[in-house]
Amino acid sequence: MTGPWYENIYRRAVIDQHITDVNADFLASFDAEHYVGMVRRSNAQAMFMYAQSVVGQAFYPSQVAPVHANLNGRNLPQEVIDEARRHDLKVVLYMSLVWDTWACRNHDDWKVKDTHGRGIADNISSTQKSRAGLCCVNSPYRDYTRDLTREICETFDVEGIRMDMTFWPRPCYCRHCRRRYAEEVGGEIPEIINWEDPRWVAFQRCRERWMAEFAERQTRTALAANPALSVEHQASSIPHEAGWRFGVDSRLALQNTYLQGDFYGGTIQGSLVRKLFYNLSPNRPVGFETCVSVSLANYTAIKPRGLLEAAACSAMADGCAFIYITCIDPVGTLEPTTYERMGEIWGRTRHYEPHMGGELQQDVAVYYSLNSKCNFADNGLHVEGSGQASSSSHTDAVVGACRALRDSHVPFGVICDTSLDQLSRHKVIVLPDVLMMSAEEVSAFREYVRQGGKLYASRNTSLVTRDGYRQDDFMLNDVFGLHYSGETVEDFTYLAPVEGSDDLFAPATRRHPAGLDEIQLIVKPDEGTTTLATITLPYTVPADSIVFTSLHNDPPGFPTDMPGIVRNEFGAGSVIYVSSGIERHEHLQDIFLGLIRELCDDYSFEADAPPVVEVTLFDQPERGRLLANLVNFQEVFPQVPVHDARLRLALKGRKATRAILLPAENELEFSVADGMAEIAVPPFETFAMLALEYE
Amino acid sequence: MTWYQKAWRRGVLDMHITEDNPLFMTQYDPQRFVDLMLEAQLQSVVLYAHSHVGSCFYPSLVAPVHAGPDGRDIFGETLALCHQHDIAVVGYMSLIYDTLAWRAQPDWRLTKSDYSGHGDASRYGVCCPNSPYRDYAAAIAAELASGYPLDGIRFDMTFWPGVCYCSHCRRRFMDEVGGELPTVIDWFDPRWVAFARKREEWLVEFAALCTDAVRLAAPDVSVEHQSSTFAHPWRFGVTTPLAAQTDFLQGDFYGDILQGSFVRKLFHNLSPNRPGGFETSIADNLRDYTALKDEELLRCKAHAALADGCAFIFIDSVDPVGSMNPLVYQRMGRIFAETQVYEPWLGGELQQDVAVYLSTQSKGDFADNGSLVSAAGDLHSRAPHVEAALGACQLLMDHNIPFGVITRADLGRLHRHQIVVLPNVLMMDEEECNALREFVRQGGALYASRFTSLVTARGHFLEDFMLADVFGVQYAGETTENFTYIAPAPGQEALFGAAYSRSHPLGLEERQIRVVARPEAQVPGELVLPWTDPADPWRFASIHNNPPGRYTGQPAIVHNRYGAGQAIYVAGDIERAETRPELFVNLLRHLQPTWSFASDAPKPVEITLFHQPLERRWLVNLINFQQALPNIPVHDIQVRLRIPQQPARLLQQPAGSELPTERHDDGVSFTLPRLDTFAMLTLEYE
Repeated sequence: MTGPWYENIYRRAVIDQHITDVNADFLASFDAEHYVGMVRRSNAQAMFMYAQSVVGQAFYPSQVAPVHANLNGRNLPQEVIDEARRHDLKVVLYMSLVWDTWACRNHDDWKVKDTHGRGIADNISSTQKSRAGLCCVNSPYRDYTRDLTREICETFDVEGIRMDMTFWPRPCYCRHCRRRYAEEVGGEIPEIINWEDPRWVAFQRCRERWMAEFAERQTRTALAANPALSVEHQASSIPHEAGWRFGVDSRLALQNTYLQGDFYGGTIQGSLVRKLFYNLSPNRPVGFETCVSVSLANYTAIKPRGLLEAAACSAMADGCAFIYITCIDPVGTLEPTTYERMGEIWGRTRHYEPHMGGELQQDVAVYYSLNSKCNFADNGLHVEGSGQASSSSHTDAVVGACRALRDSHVPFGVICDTSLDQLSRHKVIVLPDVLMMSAEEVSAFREYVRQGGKLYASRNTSLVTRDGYRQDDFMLNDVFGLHYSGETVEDFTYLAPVEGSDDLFAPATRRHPAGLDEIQLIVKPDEGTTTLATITLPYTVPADSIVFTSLHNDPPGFPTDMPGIVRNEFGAGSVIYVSSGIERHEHLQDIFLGLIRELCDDYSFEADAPPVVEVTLFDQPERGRLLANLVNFQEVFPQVPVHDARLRLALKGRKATRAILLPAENELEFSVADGMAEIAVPPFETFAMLALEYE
Repeated sequence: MTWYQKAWRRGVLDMHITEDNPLFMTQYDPQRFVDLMLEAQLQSVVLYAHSHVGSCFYPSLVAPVHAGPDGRDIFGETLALCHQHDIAVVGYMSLIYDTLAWRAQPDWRLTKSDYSGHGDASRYGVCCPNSPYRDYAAAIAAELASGYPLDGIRFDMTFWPGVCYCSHCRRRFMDEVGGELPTVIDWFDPRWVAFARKREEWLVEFAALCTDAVRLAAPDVSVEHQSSTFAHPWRFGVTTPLAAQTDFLQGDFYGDILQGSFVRKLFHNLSPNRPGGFETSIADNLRDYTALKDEELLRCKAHAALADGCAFIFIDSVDPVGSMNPLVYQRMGRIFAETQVYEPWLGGELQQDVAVYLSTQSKGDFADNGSLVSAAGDLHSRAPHVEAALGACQLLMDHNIPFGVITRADLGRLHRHQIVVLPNVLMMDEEECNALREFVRQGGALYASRFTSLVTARGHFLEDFMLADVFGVQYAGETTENFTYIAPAPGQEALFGAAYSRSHPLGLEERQIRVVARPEAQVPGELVLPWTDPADPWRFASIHNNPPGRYTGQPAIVHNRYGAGQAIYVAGDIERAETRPELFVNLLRHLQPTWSFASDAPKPVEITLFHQPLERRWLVNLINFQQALPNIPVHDIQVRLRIPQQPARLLQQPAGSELPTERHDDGVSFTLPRLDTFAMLTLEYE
């Protein structure tokens, strides 16, 4: 193999080892042969061995970090490396950043602090007790981690280093952060969240920049010690549900050799993050990681076999490596059942790996602004106060758009600001309630449409700058063909079709329009635009508890001529703007999809398959074929097998020569009509991989 | 036959419309109403006489009359038209929820412990049934029942929306118990529990007042009270005696597939008459009434009701002006056209080999003890006993084990079941314990978990389980650790399934009861504690979890023989969480290895079996109800029926096509080639 080590390594193992030394038995039974034997039993190709953990102690005789008391001179990483080398296993060493209990307990000045100057991991109250110590990357802790990184990378001959937890657990108000803010922005760090206050937004942009800078320093240190190493920082924080609080944007990605992160959400989360990583990662394959146990807190409870297999197959379907996480027992042993279960699964899935690769077909790109992971509803709340939104309205809209596209088998991808120079790859770009935008983003989207691209944009998109300045009008008003004019007072509103658009809205009608549990923006369209839907307001203001219409709801009462959905032609392209975030609402999914199909109805594939089956398509021109993956990922296991799925692949002027079911390469019948090859997919339980060869 | 015994297709049109706009209810057209009901193929409708708003749609002399119809008796007109088309009419009346009464009569208001009103800053005015409101409500009920030839009356909202501290409740408590109403929740404090029991009692008494008002005026009219609340937390104050005030149970539900299955099985046993009624909105939710549920979802829900032998009722909302959305009725018409073909075969006795016991007096949470009633948040929204009961039902559904849900109303007929499951029953009385003890003595099998029979229904925490003799254990305290483990005893690993072992025991995110097993009892599971106390943030073993480290030698699972029967006691409620299905099901199989039916159907498929002795047949229903719709069809489902009769032929209904069977000594087996959503089969016997 001539490429980097990770290039064809799709099966990777992480064995969590955040074990203290409060008991003399802990890690006393650690045996590298047993440890590596279990990893081998799982059919893994690479493993992540702990050099140091969140606890803060090193598992080797470190000169920098405290050493786990039960080692008695042993060097556990080296023992594992030696054993792994005997079996041709790749080894990446693990170290924890920011989260370091020992450092926190011993260096008060390093702690991430709240607005009162208290360490946020200290026992401030009964709800804030934490085992984890959290250190600020602006404190001298950064030098400590630099030294530790250098020591690890110079000491061990391994393939890579993984730096976990490279994110802000919460906003930090320590003296180091205060000083940097005063120097770089001026004044005190604001404590009131306000995404339309440039001083608050400046704090957030500082946090993102500071974290990227810290990561860059760490990466630089590692590569200086050993330029051959791959370097990763935990990448799950990039799309994390904690949103802005983690202070991570696309700049962190640049400090990675490839992106890999651990996720515990539903199927749509997995699909979304893998597609984001696919486009954002400096190299591929990216890694999708999850634990074998039902949760990290209950590590002896193992997920059902079917669930693990579906997760592993989903990763394959997106061209990703799959990484399982298990936990070592405190005494240092590993439970065979876990590794046997993964071994069975990977024993089956490994046969697909030689067929993976190629370019993901992403006709529709959902744009995820990593600087918009916030919620305007939080404006005015104290940073440590209650009542903050649990999620970002932009992220919710991104998730909703992806879910709709996935469920209806539209080829899609997820992009962010690193893809602005490649927008022309996509037939449609979705801007789902993008809360904040830079001038660079605005220019790129304008140019994309001018050149013939199709754009879907919703709600606040382009109304607030990346620096937190609310504009009088949309920055993309010329592209949208309309102007901002305010917001509805009512927080429950309706969208009604205009004449000729009824099919888009069925079963909603003008009399019974589609309801939204949100305020809509009021816009004034330019001449020449086409209104597809108007806003209908309820009879009474929903917030009024005295004068109301109906006990349980706020029925539509006042149809208006205010546009709710507008179509505009701009340059050689087209735009649909929606004054609300309809893509967020599952019950409005069909309207969203109808609008996307209004913009483009000519995709790389179509499928007749249940919504729980996700289809992905890769073009492999060097192998003269299209590679289609179908993953059946239900919520209940074992799954109901899928019969009767059909797939149509666009030939784009090429001639289909053979369809095969992989990995066995059994030939499948296909037919060609309207430029598409149609294949009946044989019944499958979890995963089907097909190739359509062309010339 | 009463109207409700033959009405499987029912509809409700919500009409909680105010008069805050002169247009409201001016366009209501009784003929249009009936036309749409006919389009939906309904056999009965719930027609609004009086809504939550508090105004009436008939010329009442007791309550305010809605101004929209401008003097017309739209209720009476609609009723007459429905009867012309042979549609049964149930008059709707809201109890307790009455905004106009609440606004007009401050003395009637449901009051919090700080003397603020429960309905303040809300559209919903809620009135206390201990206040003079009770007479007002009874007077409306009597007026309605005597004024119209109704088939039935439905009382909605017969529950406590909150804990009331009004002067009337205070006085009653003072008179009947003595002293002030307690404001601190404590399920081990007999005074607090006395208050909870009084609330339950007062509610039943109020329901009886309304029921009697109807019965006195119109003895043949059916009476229902909203029945969706039997499994709701203690705050609602609803217990099994409320069922006696209704002719049949019917309630509206908005939860998941499990909730539907659970409540229908509860209704099957608790309802004074059958069928029970399962009701849900056609809208995604009541708040967004123009967003209609997907037709596939409605199809599944309607067929799931059939599978449990229940009527299905959909709820629509009238437009404020009085018009209705015809698409709703077209959609339901299509679905009811599919379901009605099965109706001729419905009925019979549900086979419930395993009965899950629901104690409606155990819907509190001991974790709330010491908290103020007025505490914010979801303090009182959890009901660990109900969660455990639901968890048990989910596992029984998943493993195709015939089950039902019973209450204390079934104590006299426990012998119908092979196993009774007591899922962390928090409070019990002597009558329950005696019945369950006798059930086991006579040969029945019992599964019980955690606190079951340790606290009396009056709130006395006992020194030992009331069923200690049956369980074969003695109470010895509770673990300090709030994350604990159960390890298989040597030789018992198979019970726990492949995923667990002695070195990797089953984890529970809760404390366990410490018990001492009697010498004659077997101990298949051992209590294991984590290396360190999970509550200690300073000294811990592993950052993310609390690994097992201390093997106590104390029992966590005890299997005991008692009389001709047997019992298994588990110190944690393993039936509650989905991470431990195999152990719970394996323990039941340890008690009873075979059931009335068995199948390899996947988890989204539920099977129900009814015996119809008069027709000399068994009715088998299979419902495929997946989380994501449309359903993926299931192929080649194997079903094995164990019946005492000599089988004749198996027919797939409604077509009556015969399916091949394989005969066995104790029944038949067959293969259902394909199941899209619903299949009904009848097995005739000699």
